[in-house]
Amino acid sequence: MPTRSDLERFLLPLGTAALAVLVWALAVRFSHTNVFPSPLGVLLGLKELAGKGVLGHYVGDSLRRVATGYFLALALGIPAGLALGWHPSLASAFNPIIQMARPISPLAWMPLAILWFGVSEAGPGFLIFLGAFFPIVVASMNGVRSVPSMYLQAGRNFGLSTPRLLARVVFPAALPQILVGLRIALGIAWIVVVAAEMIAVDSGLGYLIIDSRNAGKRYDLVVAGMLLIGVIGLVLDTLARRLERLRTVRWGFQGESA
Amino acid sequence: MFQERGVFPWLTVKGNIAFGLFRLSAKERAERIAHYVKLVGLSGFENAYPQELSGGMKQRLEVARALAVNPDVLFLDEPFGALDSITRLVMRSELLRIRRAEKKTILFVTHDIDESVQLADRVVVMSNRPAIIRRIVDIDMPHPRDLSAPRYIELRDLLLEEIGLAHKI
Repeated sequence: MPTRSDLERFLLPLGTAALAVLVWALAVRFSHTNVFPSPLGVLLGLKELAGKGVLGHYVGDSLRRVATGYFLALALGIPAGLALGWHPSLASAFNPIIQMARPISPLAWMPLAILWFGVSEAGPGFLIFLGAFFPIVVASMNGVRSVPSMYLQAGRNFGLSTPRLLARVVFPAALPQILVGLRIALGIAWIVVVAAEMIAVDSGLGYLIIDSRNAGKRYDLVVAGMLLIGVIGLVLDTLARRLERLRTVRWGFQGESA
Repeated sequence: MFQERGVFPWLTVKGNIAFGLFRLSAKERAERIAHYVKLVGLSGFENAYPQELSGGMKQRLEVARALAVNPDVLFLDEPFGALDSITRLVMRSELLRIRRAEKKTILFVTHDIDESVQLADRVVVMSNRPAIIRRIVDIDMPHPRDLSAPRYIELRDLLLEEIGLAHKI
C-alpha cells in the first residue's frame, strides 16, 4: 500500500516530468520548428549514439575527467582549508587572494589552460580542479573555524598533541561543513566539464554537444547531451547527499529537511 | 567537563569513553570501556550516538569519559546546569554513587547553594571579581543526606548569608 509520502516523493516528480515531456512534444509539433528536436527525436539520437558505441565511452570520459580534477581539488583543498582554518595568520595572509580568485569563472582560465597544457587531458582537468578547489577550501576553512571551543578544550584535557587534536577533534567536528563544500564542489565540477571539453579533447558529453552543433547542426544530439548531463548531475548530487546521512556526520545536519 | 555538552557527537558512547585511552592496549581499553559504561548506567547504549541520548545520559557519558583516563581530580564545571530539575536531582545521587565506587576527589563548580550542601564534603565560597576565597565551610553531614534536617537548613542558610542573599524572596 503506497503511503502519501511515497506518492509525493516518487509519483509527483515523475508525473511532473511526464507532463513536461508532453508539453515539450506538443510545443515542437504545433510550432513546426525544425531547429529544436522532439522528445522522440532526442531518444532516437541517444539510440544512434549508443549504436555507434560512443555513448558509454563519452559518459565514461566525462566522469573520469571530473573525477581527476575533483579528487585533486579534494586532496589539496581539504588540507589547505584545515591549515587556513587552524592558523588565523595564514588565513589573514591568503584569504584575500582566495576570495579574489574564487569568483573568477574557470571558463576565464580557458585561454591560459590551452596555452599551458595544449592538446592534452591536463587542460580540462585543470579547469575542473579550479572549479572544485575553492568551494572545498572555503568550506574546510569555515568548518575548522566554527568548531566549538569546548571540543578543543576537551581534546586538550586528554593530552592530545596538535596533530592528534586536528585528526581526532578538529577534522571530525568540521566534517559536516566540509561535506557540504564537497557536494557544492561536485556540482560545480560537473557544470565545468562541459566547457572544459570544448577545448583540447575529442570525447565526452561537452564535446558531444559542441561537435553535434558544428558537424551538421544535430540539435537532437545537442539536447540528448544536455539531458544526459542533467541526469548524471542529479545522480551525483544524490550520491553526495547520501554521505550526509552517515552516522558520524548526521549530528551536523539535524533540523535540516532531507 | 563543561556545562555545555562536551561529548563528541561524531563518536558513539564507546568511542567517547575510549577517546582519552589512546595510550592503552586494545585489551585494556575494552576493559575500561566496559567498566565505565556499566558504572554510569549506559549498558545497552554502547553504540548509540550522543544525539540519541537524553541530557542526563549525555552528562553521565561525559563523566565516564573523564573518569576513564583515571584522573587525580575530576573537575566538574556546573555539569548539571542545563538539565531539568528532576534529572538534576537524579544526577546528583548518581554522582555520589559513582564517587563512592571510584573514590575520586571531585572539584565541583556550582551556583546552586542546595547542590553544594547536598554533594560536598567541603564548600569553598568564592567572591565575584576578584575571584577570591571568602569562606570554607565543612559539610558535616553523613550520606544519604536528609534535605529537611535542621543541620541541612542551617548550613544552607549559612552559605546563603555568606554570598549575601536574603532568606526570603
